[in-house]
Amino acid sequence: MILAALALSTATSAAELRLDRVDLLSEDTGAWINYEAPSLLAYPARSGVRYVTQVKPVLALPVENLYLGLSIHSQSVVYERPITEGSEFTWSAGLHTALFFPRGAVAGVAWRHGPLRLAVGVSATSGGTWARPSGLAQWDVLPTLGVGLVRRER
Amino acid sequence: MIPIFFSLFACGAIDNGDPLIEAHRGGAALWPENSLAAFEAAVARGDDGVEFDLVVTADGVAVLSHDPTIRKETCTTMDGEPVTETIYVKDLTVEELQSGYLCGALPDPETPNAQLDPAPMPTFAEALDIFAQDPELLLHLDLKYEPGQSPPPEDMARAFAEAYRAADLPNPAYASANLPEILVAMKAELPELPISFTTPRFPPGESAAVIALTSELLTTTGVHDLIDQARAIDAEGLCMPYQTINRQTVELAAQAGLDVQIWTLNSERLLQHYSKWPVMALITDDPGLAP
Repeated sequence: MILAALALSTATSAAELRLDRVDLLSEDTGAWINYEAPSLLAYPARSGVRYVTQVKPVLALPVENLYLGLSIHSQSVVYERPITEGSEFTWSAGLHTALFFPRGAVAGVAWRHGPLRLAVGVSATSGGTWARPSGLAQWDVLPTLGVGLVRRER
Repeated sequence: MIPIFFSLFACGAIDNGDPLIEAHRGGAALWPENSLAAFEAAVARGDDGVEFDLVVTADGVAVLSHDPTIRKETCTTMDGEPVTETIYVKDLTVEELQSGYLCGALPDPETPNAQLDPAPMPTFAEALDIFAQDPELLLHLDLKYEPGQSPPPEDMARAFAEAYRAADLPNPAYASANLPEILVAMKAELPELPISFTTPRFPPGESAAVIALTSELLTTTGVHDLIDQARAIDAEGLCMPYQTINRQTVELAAQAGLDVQIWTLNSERLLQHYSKWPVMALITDDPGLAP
C-alpha cells in the first residue's frame, strides 16, 4: 500500500510531493495516547521515547486529498477532504502499517485552523506482523486523538 | 479491549489492579540476595511473596544463586579472601560450595545499602524450611538455566522438583525462566506448578542494545507474538521488566489468560503506578516501598 502510494507519487511529478504537516500526536493507531500517556509521570523515559517514535511527518501526495504519513511507529496512507467545500472541518479514512506491514485502518474527523490540525477518530489495529501474519485475525479498536502542525503555504 | 483513552480524562477510572508484592531475591535492598537471612526477614515482615533464584550443583542439589557462578562481587572464601577465579556452581558439590565460600560477605554494588550477613550459599531445601513458617507466602522460583554454564535443563528441573516435592508446602507457587527449555522440563517434572515466561533475555556476550530494540518492537508492534511464545510452552504467565511493557501488553496478556508479573520496581512512584494495573505480582527489592 505504502509502496504503491510512493510509486504513484514518483509516477507523477515529484515536485508536487510536499510536506503537509507534522503530527505531534498521531491518530494512526491510538497506541500512545491510550497506552503510554498514562505512564508518562511514572516512567517518563519509556513513554518519552515511544512518543518520539510516533511523531509523524505527513506528505501531501500528488493525488488530491491523499496523504502519506511516515513515523517509526506507523506508516499510513489517508484520504482526507473537507466536509463541505471550503470548510475547516475534514473527514478522513485510511490504512496504516507497522514496519510497512499492513495492520489496520483509521477514520475520523479533523479541524484545520491556521497552523493547527486537531483530529479525533477510531483506529482498528490488527496483531499482524511480518513475523506473524496470522495476527491479522486479532483486532484492537481504540479511540484516537491527533494534533498536527500544518505547514504554512507560501 | 477496554480502551483506557477515557481513563486519561476521567482521573484513572479504570483501577482494576491489586497485585501481590514479591520480595525480589528475598528483598535484596535489605539483606544479601537469595540468603536465609533475607527469607527470614521476608517471613517476619509478612510479605505477600518472595522471589528467589535457583541453580544446581555438581551433585544435583538445588541451591540459591542468581548467577551460574559464585559472585565475585559479594562472595569470599571462608578466610575472607576475594574470589578471583570464575567458579561455576555446577562444578562443585554442595559440600564444596558450602564449606568453601561465604556469600553476602561484601556489599553488593547493585544494592549497597543492604545489610551484610556472610553465610554459605543456601540450599533450596533450607529456604523451603523457612517458607514453611508462612503457608500463604507466594513462592516464585526463578530458574537460572544458562546453556553451557548449567547442567542440562532436565537435570536441573529434576533437582528443583525433588526439593520442592520433599518439602510438600501448601504455599502458592510458580516458576519463571527466560529460556523455554528449562520451563518445559520443569512442567514435565511438576505439571501442577504454574510457569511464567520471562522476557526479554539478555544472554552474556550479546548486544544488549539489539536485544532491547527487538524487545521494543515486540512490545509495541507484536504483543501477540509475546503471548504466542508463552502459549507455545503452556506457560501460565509472562514475567517482564517494567521498562519494556505497556498497558496494552498487560491487558492483552490478561485477556489471553496469562498472569503478568512485573520486575523490578524499586521506587514508591513505580510501585504506586503499577499497583493499579491488572497484573498478578510486582517484584521489588524493597517491599516496604509498596503502597
